[in-house]
Amino acid sequence: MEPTQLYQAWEKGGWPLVFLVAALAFGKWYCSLKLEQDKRFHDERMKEQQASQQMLGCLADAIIALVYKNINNEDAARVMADLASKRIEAIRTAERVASQ
Amino acid sequence: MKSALIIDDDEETTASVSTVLIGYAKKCVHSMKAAIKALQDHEFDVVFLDLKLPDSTAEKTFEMMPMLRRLAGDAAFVLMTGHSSDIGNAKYAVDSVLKKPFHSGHIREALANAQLAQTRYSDATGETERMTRALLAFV
Repeated sequence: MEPTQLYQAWEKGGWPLVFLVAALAFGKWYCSLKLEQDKRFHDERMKEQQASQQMLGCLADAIIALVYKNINNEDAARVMADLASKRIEAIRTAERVASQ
Repeated sequence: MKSALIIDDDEETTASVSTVLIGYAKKCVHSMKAAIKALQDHEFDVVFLDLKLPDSTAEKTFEMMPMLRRLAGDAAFVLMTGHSSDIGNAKYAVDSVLKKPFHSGHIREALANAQLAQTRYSDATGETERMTRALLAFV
């Protein structure tokens, strides 16, 4: 809100209009602030959910590695174990970077 | 640019699939070993996989499919086979099945299904669907 808007309100309607214009401007500012806070909160929850999904994916990789180990496919078991550990590292690194 | 991996030992098949994949960067490999290496080194949007390869029988390819799916990350999976009986429960593990012999229309249909799968994989539950499909390959 520009000071000129308050001055114009004063000229047109005196104090009642100045209060009304100021109240509207405050309301607009407060709503945009709350929206921004909600957006940040939502984005953080989304990131957490995404990381949680990715971690579940790592669990699946580990399970697959175990199945390969059980059926004596050592090469595939090693590939899956490597993949799981690399993905865990990537998730943790992304979290560390985001928190800095 | 989107990219596609075509795993088949038959040059004619890889050529016909390549022809339909307009606008895709294509990589063709002819063995399971090369496929694993390609999936470890590159990211793809779609993978066309033949069941029978020189270094892998259909049973062995089924066995390797959970690993291939997990290595492929977000990529949609299209299984290519000449025998419907081969497919069995593997149909749950892949995004689309291409029965040989196929023509360009079939490939386009499989590609459309694969692209649909990719859209699903990008949403919040995408990772869960991908890992479930990978685990289903063991069934």
